[in-house]
Amino acid sequence: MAFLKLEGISKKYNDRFALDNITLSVEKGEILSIAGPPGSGKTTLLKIIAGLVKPTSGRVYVEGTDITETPPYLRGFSMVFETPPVYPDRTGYENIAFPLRLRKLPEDEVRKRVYEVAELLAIKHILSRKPSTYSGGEYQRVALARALVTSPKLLLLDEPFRNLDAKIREHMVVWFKQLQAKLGITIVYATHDPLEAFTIGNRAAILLNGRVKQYGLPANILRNPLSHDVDEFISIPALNTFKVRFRSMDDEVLIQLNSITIRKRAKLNTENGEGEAIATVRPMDISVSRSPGEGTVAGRVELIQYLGANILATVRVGDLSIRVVVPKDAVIREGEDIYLSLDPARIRLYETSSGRRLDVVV
Amino acid sequence: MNADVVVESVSKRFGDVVAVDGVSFDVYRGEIFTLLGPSGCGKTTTLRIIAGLERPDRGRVYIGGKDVTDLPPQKRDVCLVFQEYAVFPHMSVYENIAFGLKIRRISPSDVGKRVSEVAEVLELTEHLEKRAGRVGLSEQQKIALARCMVVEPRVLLLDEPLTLVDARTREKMRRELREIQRKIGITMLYVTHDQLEALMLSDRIAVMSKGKLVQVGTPIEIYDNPQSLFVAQFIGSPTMNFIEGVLRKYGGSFILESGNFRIPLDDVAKLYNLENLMDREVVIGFRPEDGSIDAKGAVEGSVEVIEVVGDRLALHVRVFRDVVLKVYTTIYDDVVIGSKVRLSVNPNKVHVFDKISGRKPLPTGVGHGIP
Repeated sequence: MAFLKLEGISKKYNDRFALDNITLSVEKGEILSIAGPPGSGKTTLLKIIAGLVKPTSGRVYVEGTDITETPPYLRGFSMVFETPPVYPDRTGYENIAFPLRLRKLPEDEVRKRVYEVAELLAIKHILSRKPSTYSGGEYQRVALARALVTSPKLLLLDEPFRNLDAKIREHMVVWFKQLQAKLGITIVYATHDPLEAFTIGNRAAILLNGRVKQYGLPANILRNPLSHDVDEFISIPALNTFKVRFRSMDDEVLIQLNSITIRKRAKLNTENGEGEAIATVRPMDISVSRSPGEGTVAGRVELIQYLGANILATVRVGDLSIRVVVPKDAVIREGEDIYLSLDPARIRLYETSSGRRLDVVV
Repeated sequence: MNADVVVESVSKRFGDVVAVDGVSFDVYRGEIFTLLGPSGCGKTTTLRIIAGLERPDRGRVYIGGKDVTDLPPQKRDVCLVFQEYAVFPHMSVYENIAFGLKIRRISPSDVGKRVSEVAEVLELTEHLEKRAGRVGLSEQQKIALARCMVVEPRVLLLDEPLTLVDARTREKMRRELREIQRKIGITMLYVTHDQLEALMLSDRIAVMSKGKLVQVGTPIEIYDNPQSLFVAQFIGSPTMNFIEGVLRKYGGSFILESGNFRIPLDDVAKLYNLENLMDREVVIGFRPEDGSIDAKGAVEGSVEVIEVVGDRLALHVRVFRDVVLKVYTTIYDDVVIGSKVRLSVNPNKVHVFDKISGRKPLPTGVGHGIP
């Protein structure tokens, strides 16, 4: 049985759906990441799980028990917000001990628990210091420690590392993932960054405009987005998106991109044998060579941008501007003529009107 | 090459704090030159000294070959684009762009001509009649840029213009800024704390730390051949892999002693003159893409974290008790947490630093894969 189950959760504010029929489940000891841009409903969903907001319809279950009407303080969950309140005039120790004091635990028990959690989060050195002396990472860890010290059944995290500098954030995300292996606690983790969601979560849900557009293992979502909006949201660097015409023949699709014809082995999930569609391909999935080969497309390098490990090149092919990613040691210069090859297996097709995925692997 | 900006031994103190400490560099005509460093490194003060908003305690600034150290900002032939775009929201886009020209008393017909030319280059033409408060962030940035461009300065100065926008728009604007610069060929001096932005935008980068300029080079030089531990750590995301230890020599072979482990460094010794580092604490480093999963690799470890980095996966592999190394695989590779992998490293891409000074030993001159 799933540890946490959300069934048909909707939330309306003034006739507008902030959340629309959300059904999700989280297994015990797992992290479920919820990724969505600002305003997609992540925080509202976390607040409904925490009991801080009542859903308009739908139910919340924990280990099979309906807790939709249970008040927050009886749910035994902890929540950490983007900017967690840490009392500035109290030491790290007192900040972490605070929720235990509210529960009137004996002092030696408080002490034991605070030290345990401080050890785990590697913040023993700041226990006697006040928040003004903390680094951004330490501050977030104190907030996390305070959420963990009560041994919650479920931890809800709302963009806990968002305000950190990029470098520290990267470090904290990896650190947190390592920590989770030791914690074994069930977590729902919300973030605007799909890559962070995929790194942290055992499973991920992509939330766009109040709807779960895709849910599953991070690797599956990454490799196989099921709608154009999910593809756009999760692809960094930005996708190449083209308007194309297609013609379906048995187990093959002919894709016409301006003057370029691509044959892709796939069946199409549509009644139409031909028509217009959206095609996408990631810059990483296009390879580059200096000489023409079978099925290559000639283009001219317009712009080079170093990404570190890779180079992002913008290539002009007729009316099209195509972005490709090549390894850092590739010798590629602006103004140079090169040849692109698009791997048909990596081209995805979407219905123009609905954005739903059309191609099915055969 | 022609230098549009020459900064010569410039220093600036604020009270007891040395903000800029003997900084010298040239910005060539038509390049994007970026001052990069963490907050407090002195990059913005350096920019403000060039703009004429701060006076240096020592040193000179030349723009277009002319000593401008004692000239006010408006006489320096530069224009500064601020972090906050300072767009007047109630005025039209056209009026916003024309603003700088009107206060310079340019004739109205010239104003119209220049504004439409610049708007054309920046693809703002369709927005000219709109109120500036009504257009998107990307357009607002272009307005700020356009306002400087119409004045036709020799050098555009940009102070972290992209910090306020979301990641998606930022990626787009980085591309647009570079495209615009390529189109008009203007000299740009750019300031940022974001290493990826500097790599993506610049022709050359000057890395600053604690008021000093620590390395100047092309993005690929800065990234692939850092001259100090600071630059190696600061540039690159995910960060470079580092292993600390003591350098030893046994029977003519160089070894890094790290805890109970010994890592042979003979390949590295071909690249660097290691004699001066003997028996000292050193840090060796390599970039994740310069290592790989390799069944014949020298070290084995287990995958602890799978970090999704754009269109690749960074596997964090624990090889020793205290050493986790990152290598990349594609998103199409199947990897699970806990699986055992062997790693190998391209020896030509291994860096060595003195742990205390942070400095790199001198190269032996034998092919280091640097262009």
